[in-house]
Amino acid sequence: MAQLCQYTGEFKQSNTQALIISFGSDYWARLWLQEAGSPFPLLLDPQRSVYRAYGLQQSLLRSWNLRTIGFYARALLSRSAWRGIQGDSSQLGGDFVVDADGLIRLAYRSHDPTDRPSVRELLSVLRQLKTKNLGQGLTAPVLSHKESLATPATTL
Amino acid sequence: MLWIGDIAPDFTLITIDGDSLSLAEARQRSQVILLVFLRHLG
Repeated sequence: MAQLCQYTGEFKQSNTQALIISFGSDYWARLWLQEAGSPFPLLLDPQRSVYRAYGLQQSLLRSWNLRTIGFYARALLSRSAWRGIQGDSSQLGGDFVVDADGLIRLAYRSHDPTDRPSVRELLSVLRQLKTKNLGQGLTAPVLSHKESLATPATTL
Repeated sequence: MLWIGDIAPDFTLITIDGDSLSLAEARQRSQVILLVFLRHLG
């Protein structure tokens, strides 16, 4: 999230609006917003209806593995004020890009909590869409390498 | 399951400021929308 905030200029150049969606409570969302300093609108989805509509799943198995335990252990050691996980730890996140026609151009469903697309990947998709909007057409399909994880055969 | 090329489902949610915002409204203001679904707020 902190990385995203550093690229607000690039998003603006690509005529892109980022919307942050959380299922957290109003209280924790305000605290998070204060600490993250996010310039993007924060939307609350306590019922997680939009999470479900976009196919974002809950999985304890994928949420808790050696990699995530290591991640939280480091967070605990490095951030004395860390309050721990707020909310359902099994809920997985994701990132989606919606183009000018209202079509999904990137669907990145996190395989586990540490799996998110890099800002470089997101900007690459936005640059391709910008090219398309200028009438030059897409030079390549706009796909995330993680999209293959969302095939019925591999979706948990 | 949504796939690339599918129409993004519209939604309306409440912002942290108490305002209502839909995907359709956001699309009227910006050509491209990046939706970031957070996992949790820890």
